[in-house]
Amino acid sequence: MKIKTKFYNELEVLDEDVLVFPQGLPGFPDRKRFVYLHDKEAFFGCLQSCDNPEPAFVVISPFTVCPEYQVDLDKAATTELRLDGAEDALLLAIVTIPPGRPREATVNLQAPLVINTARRRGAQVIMPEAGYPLRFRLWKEEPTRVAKGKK
Amino acid sequence: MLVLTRKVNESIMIGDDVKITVVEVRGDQVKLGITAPKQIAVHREEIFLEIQKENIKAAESKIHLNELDKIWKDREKK
Repeated sequence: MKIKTKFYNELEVLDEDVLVFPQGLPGFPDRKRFVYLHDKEAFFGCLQSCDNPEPAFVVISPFTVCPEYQVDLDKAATTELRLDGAEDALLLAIVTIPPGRPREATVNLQAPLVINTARRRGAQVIMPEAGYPLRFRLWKEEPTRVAKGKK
Repeated sequence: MLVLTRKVNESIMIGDDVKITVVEVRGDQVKLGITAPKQIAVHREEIFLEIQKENIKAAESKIHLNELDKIWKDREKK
């Protein structure tokens, strides 16, 4: 089917590419169908709503900024992901880019997107107790490492 | 908003599956226990609102992915 996108105008997507987010996302509870667009060469990907060009979220793999990043999978179960195992889980983190100041972009490590690639379902898992920051600065001079428990 | 008064160890049922129990009261702090099915996410309100706000801000980003990627790759070249 054809969908209108924020960054790529009209795109053809397959039904099996569609990810269902049963609860939508906080702030967007009625947006339940997304596709993950990612150019293999690119650092940034996009979680694009199927129903509308907006919202489309810039996303990255959290492991690129936090190699030891962990999500409590039992928590992920609470959002109806029905994960059978960790190997089916794809983790993405949403990037916020202040208008006109891309080098001040931050990534949300406190509430990652967890996608069950086997069942094509996804959800945003909120985990404040894990100690990851809500706004982790992407552009840092030194090698990036986020210690667990550090705010 | 429905307002109910409870004593310590008393509970409130929401639907068939959600129970909120007053576990402890100390000064102006109330400790609540929540029993709910795994599918229902339970969070402190301010945490949820922060995530909501951050998502909305993130969705407002205007910069094109390709431009952002270019800026990122230039960073690594330095």
